[in-house]
Amino acid sequence: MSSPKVEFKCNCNTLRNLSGLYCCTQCSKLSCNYCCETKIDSYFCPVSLTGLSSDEVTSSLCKSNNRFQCPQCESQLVFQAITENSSQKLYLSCNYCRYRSDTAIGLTFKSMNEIHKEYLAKERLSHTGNDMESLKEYYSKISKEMLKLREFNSGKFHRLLNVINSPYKSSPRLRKKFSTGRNFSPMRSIYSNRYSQNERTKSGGSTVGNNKGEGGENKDDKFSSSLMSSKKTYGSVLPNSKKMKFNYTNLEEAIEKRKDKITNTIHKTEKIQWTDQIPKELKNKFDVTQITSLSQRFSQLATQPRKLSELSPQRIRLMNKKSKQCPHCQHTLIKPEINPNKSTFKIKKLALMIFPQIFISKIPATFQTDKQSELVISFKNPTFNEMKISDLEISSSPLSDLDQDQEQNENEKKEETTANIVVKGKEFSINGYDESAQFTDITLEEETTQETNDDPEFIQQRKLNKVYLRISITPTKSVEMLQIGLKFKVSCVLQSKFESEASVIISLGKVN
Amino acid sequence: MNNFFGKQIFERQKAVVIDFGSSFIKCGFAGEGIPQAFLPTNLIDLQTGEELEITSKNNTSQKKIQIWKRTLFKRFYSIFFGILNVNPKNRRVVFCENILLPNFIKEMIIEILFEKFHVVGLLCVPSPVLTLVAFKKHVGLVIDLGHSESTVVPVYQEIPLYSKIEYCSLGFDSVVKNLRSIVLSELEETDKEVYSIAEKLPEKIWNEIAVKTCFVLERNAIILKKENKEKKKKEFIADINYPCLDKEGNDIAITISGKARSNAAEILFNGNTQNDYEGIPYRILECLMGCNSDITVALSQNLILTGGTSMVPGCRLRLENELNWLLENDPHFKKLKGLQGKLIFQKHPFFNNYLSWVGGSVFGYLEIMNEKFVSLQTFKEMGLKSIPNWSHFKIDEEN
Repeated sequence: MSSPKVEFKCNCNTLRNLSGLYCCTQCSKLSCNYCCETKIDSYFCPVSLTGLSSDEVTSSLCKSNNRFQCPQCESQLVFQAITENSSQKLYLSCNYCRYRSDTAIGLTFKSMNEIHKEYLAKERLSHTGNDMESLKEYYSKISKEMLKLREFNSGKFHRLLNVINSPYKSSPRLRKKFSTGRNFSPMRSIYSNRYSQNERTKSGGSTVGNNKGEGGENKDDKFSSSLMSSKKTYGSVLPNSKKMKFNYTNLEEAIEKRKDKITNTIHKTEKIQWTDQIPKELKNKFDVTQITSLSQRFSQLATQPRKLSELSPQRIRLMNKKSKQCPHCQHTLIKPEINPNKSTFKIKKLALMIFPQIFISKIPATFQTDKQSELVISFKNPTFNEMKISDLEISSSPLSDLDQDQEQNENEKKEETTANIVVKGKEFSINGYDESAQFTDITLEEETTQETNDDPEFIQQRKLNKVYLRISITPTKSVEMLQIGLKFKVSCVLQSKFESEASVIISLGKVN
Repeated sequence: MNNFFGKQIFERQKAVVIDFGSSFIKCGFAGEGIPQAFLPTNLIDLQTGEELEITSKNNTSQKKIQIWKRTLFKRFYSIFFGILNVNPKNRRVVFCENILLPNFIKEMIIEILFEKFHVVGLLCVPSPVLTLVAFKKHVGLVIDLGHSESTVVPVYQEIPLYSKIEYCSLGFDSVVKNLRSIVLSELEETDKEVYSIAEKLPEKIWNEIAVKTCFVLERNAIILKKENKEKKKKEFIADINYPCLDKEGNDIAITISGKARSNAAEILFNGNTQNDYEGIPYRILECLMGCNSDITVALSQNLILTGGTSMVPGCRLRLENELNWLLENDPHFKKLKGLQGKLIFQKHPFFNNYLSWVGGSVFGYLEIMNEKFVSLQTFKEMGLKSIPNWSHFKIDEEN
């Protein structure tokens, strides 16, 4: 059983209360939190209420320098002092759960300024520690080699191939030189020393795999990585193309050599020793209140301790102030003040200040099919000047773009109308908000007789800056939730003339 | 995309790395070793109050899609502006995706990130590929024990073999349910007052009890009994009192017996016989059986355990013992009998909680990955086709 409510429709087709919408005065369109663009304006510490510049924020890793959080109950910690042997020491204490960093861990400080340096140093270590640095180095080395290979494959090589291939096709002599023997690798033929030597040999055989038994080994092989060849266990080696070197003459020796290599790679396994047996403390009795819960562990991700005695206070996270922009015309809708002590706004363009608020003032107790009942709605004008409302349309089927596809709803509109609604007027105007009306002695009767020329079946009464309308409803079907759609146009005078449209859905209740 | 000014923007700011799990979201910056925060994924719609589950059923109507979009938008809003304190407008995002995430959720996340937050570039990487990064390996069998389910994925040369995935819907929430049923059945006989209170405790508190008290025995309980009888040992596991409050405010303790503490996690290894699941070790060996014979040796020497439930004390030892026992005694795994005693679990210096996040942070830091990011312009031109359904890539592959 949901109570009756009034919801406005935003430009992005979501339904919201009028208090959650913003209205841009330049393009006169509504926007909500879902479609606005938000930006962070400034940062501040929520405990000490001091603002920070952007340099300080990045240097302190976006957490406050002087304020700490209790590790047990996540409330704020306070500094307190002890005097021992004529020297003052500070420790942290929690007023909510009686936590003292003195007795728990032994944390004491000499002065407030020294604290954040130690903490910063520790956090930096844990965030970018040695383990992470070694990972980054390993992968950046691999990526550099890949980049080199890619450069080679893409640019220079293709140009050189064109140079090589053109005489290759014409003359048979050159064809012999660059014959695709078994181990033809263009890298070697261009960059190796043997190429230049082979030009002068009379035999003119292939560069690699000479009959003399000298294999085409390259000492200046730029593109073999020491990384890849060092590790020989499974899973840690990227595929490398040319590592096997064959000597055609001494086949038997070559096979034996190769066998050793293969067997070595299979049987070489790293022996890893694990020491993670269950500690005996778990099987005996222990106090459950001394063990950390999951959320306490996650406040210290570097160590994730199991015991309460190993927790340490953490720095409090900074908060920020945001400003919002209209998505259609990029004008600012909301801009807060930079001073963290103030919660006011420099620019504030809310829909509450421009659009009329709609309330339900009289609703029948139950709705029944084929029985006429009366509904009274009130419009309230928030501006200081007169406001005109025109082109009032009321329909019983809710507005189409929301829930279902448009095709379905068009068919449904012709078939179903859940109620017949009658409104006897289309235009009216509302008076502005008058501040001095609080202090005058006008009674209620005199207020209602001020305005004449009102159709009493359309407008029930007027009061200061409100207008009450009558609507008569006869529902035709029994529905779980009866909904009425309203559309109207608003025109009023703010700093300049302002005109806009609005569409509203009023959900009333069950129809028996 | 590669104009000079564009490159400057890319390289100045750190990328944001987000890992979506079923019970916790991990978020942080690329290049760092630890995530900034662990957030619980309570996808609760504020307007209607229903809790959204990540399944693929009943989620295709337009109404539901609107509800999902609203809740996901709020989640990302709280991540960017509440925890990371960062403007998403000129940032790149690395998204570590679970392989079994339903497609409509992935599409919604991509639309929200590009259209509402105006993110400059997105990179979607499957999480098994990222877990291998922390070990400096390129081949491995990734065993992910999560909160709602667990998966076994073989990865060879940074390509996950999607056709050989094994899936099992046993996770930490089944351990919690098992604990609850054992404790309640014991309390029903002994203490009826405490039983009536313990029955009404919400699931969060049972989760905490399981985290603080449960552990895993070394071997199957039946086998342990036999061994202890031979050696005439008596192993004693103590009861623990969990403090609680009465209706009137008095202190009451729920006793969690030793039997419940050690048997709660057995469901992961024995399986749930009602619904015909076999336990996790069975799934691992099935996956090895299904792979080609030239990969199995490499995979068996690079077993990788991740996930939050693998941090229950004693989990890894038990897995190893169960695997060796199955290889010895089960005739179904005759083919793999030679691997007995030669299975190796790899070590790493991080915690199992956030291993895939670490891989994402390395990928977001490398310069060679700058080209793999899908930019805003390509998304505007091509729409959702710019990011494929099953993502695949290698470090040295060109686009």
